[in-house]
Amino acid sequence: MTLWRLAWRNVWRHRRRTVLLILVVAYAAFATILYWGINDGYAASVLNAQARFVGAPVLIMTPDYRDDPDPEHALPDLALTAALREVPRVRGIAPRLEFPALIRSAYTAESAVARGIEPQREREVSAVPAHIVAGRMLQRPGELVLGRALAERLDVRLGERAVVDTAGPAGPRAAGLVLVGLVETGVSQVDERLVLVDLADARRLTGVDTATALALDVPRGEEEAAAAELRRFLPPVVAAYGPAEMLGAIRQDLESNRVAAIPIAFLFALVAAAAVTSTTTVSVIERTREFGMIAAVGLAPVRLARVVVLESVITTVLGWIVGLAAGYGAVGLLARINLLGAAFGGFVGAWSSVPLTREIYTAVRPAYALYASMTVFVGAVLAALIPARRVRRLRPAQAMRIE
Amino acid sequence: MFAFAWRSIWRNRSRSLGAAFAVAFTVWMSMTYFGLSNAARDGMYVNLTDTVGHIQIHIRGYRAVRDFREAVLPRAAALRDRLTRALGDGLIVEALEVPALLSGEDRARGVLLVGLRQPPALRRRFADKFVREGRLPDPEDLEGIALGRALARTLQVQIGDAVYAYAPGTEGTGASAYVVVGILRFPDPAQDARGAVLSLPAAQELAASDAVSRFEVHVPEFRRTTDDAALVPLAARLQAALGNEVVVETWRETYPAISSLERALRPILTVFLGLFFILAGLLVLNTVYLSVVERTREFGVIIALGANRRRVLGMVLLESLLLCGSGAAVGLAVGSATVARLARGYSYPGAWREVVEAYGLPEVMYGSIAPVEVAIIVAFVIGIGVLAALLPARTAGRLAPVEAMRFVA
Repeated sequence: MTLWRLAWRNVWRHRRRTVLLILVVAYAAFATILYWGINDGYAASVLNAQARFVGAPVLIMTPDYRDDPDPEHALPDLALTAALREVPRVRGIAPRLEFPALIRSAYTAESAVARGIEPQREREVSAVPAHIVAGRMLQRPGELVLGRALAERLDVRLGERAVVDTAGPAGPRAAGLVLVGLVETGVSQVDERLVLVDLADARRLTGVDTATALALDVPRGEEEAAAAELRRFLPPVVAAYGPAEMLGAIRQDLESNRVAAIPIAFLFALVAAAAVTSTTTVSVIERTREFGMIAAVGLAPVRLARVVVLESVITTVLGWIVGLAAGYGAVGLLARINLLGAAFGGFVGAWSSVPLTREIYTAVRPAYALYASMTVFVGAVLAALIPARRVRRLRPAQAMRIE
Repeated sequence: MFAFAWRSIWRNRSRSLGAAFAVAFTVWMSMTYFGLSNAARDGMYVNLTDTVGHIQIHIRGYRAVRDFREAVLPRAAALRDRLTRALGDGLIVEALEVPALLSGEDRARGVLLVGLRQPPALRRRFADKFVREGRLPDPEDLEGIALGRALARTLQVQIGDAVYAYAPGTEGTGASAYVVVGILRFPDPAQDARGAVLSLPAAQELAASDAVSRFEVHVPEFRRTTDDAALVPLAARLQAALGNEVVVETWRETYPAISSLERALRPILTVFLGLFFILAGLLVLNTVYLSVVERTREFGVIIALGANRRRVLGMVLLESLLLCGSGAAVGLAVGSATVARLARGYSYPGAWREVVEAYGLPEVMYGSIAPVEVAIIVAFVIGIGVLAALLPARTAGRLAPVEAMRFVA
């Protein structure tokens, strides 16, 4: 107990030293959290863009459709819809009927995957309807909405007709639809490929009278958990998929991005540990004379070493708490500000045409506290051991004479 | 004064060693950081340019043209000869892209058939990267085709099965049957779902004889982001040699999206670099400052004995310059050795190699550091070190000598 008090008093007696040590520990923790927050945030933002623009936060489809996306593997019926509305996290449900099609204008043709939707319900699950940049959203059968880049390639304008050809279970069919709206999201997969038609048209063209998928909206960040929960409750002929499972290669890219971040993180941790160690070590070396005095007054070297270790522990823990608070504060704040938005848009101008996402938010995960702690912990252990050894070997008379 | 500073350094050896070591360590680590991060950046550059070439040659106005026949370069063989003569060394890839309808037994999909003729080295690399099953069609093979995995799955075909291509609006046979000889795995899902590769003669027979959609020029010596500057004059030279009906573009002009993806890394790398430099600065600042803060008392004594305050500052400046300078020199030596080792090429151990490749980095990466980066590191570290060393002298100068002698940090 007395040792504690002695250590505590020492910590505050050397105020400058303490502030510096707290600063370095806090910064090491802060920087670690920010580093991973930005790294993971990039991955999560791409996933989110996929969820809100390209696919849906959660998709319910037959496992056969997932392996072979053709309308012949459509859902057997839509009776599930009512039951899904009762699931707590589900905020919106929309049926989708997707089918491969050829879009023909007067000049040329492009192959694409057309998506049949119920216009009102689609708003509940997708950010696409909110990104109409010309014209308006679908309202009734006979209408068509295209990604802006796709419409440019087809050379078809608002009010003009395009023909949608398909060869589904019903055999080859075609329909002439009027272009009423153009979508631009900044996500190239959408802008260059999106074809929206009314669900009724899609059913007529394919001969399928259900849907290929039910798209569900769930809160951001809970997609995978919601999908896992739904899987337990769904009948075996259908399954629920989160965005990560629908991603394929991009997901692999994102994960390897994280792996590639590790060497730099490792170097970072090494320097952080060295900074903590050297700060403590030097501050103890400098106090040799003081320790000599204390030892001469009668404190056994072992107990003196304990005081020194305690001092390091106290300052390290204080710094660690400050760093965690600042780090989580920073990523928490940046998680609400789009890094590609107004505040940072100018600085990161190059990002504006990143074809994967238009929004980047930092991620906030509890694991960062662990990463930050490991670095600080290694530094603190080294910092505590080296000086403590020195103190235990101390010979008071000599130590007092040292300058 | 020099002798005085020299003596001060040796008077407390462990203190001086600690400070010099901190400076050396920081210089070393910062150089390693730059080496690794430049290697990753250049690695990504190599992978990007491996995929699309350094320079591409299309028919003028190719972006606006809708009709297939007007979008290709005619008399490709003659053009290729002129290109070879103008280029000297450098590898040329010829590609003919044909939009077509491809059908299996029951299903048909709109696809992009790509007829490719590549030099052997590039062909091997292409095969290593993308072939998952089977092989690529041989260079003169008129019947073989390799399909994206997702496409093969959708068409419900496997190696050995027949597929039928229908390419309306073209000038060749317009329709042909092929045998699947390989399954490819493209990282881009869209390419995987509609990409198919055949030999250049096969594509020309189907769609347009003696025509290509583009030439890609690969320059094997250009392995670093900084080599990009040399592409602009090369493109201009080729443009002059080939005449005005073609357009010669650097890969950045042809693929602005890919180029911006590579550029997009810069702000993030800059933020990380900032985070790192603050940490490195704190390491030097704390170590040097704490190693000399006790000397506030000593300076108090010196000033009390009658020394001029500016002389004390000058002495400390000289002393810390000597100390940080020699530390930086050691760090520079070790750092240069480390970067030189990285420059000979390094790869990540075992299990990591695969993920690093998937990320868009080549298997072997080469570290490098620019002189200006070395200069920034050394100036930054010495600057912080000297600043930290001067602080106690400044404190002592501001305090009354008696207070300075009693100073506790």
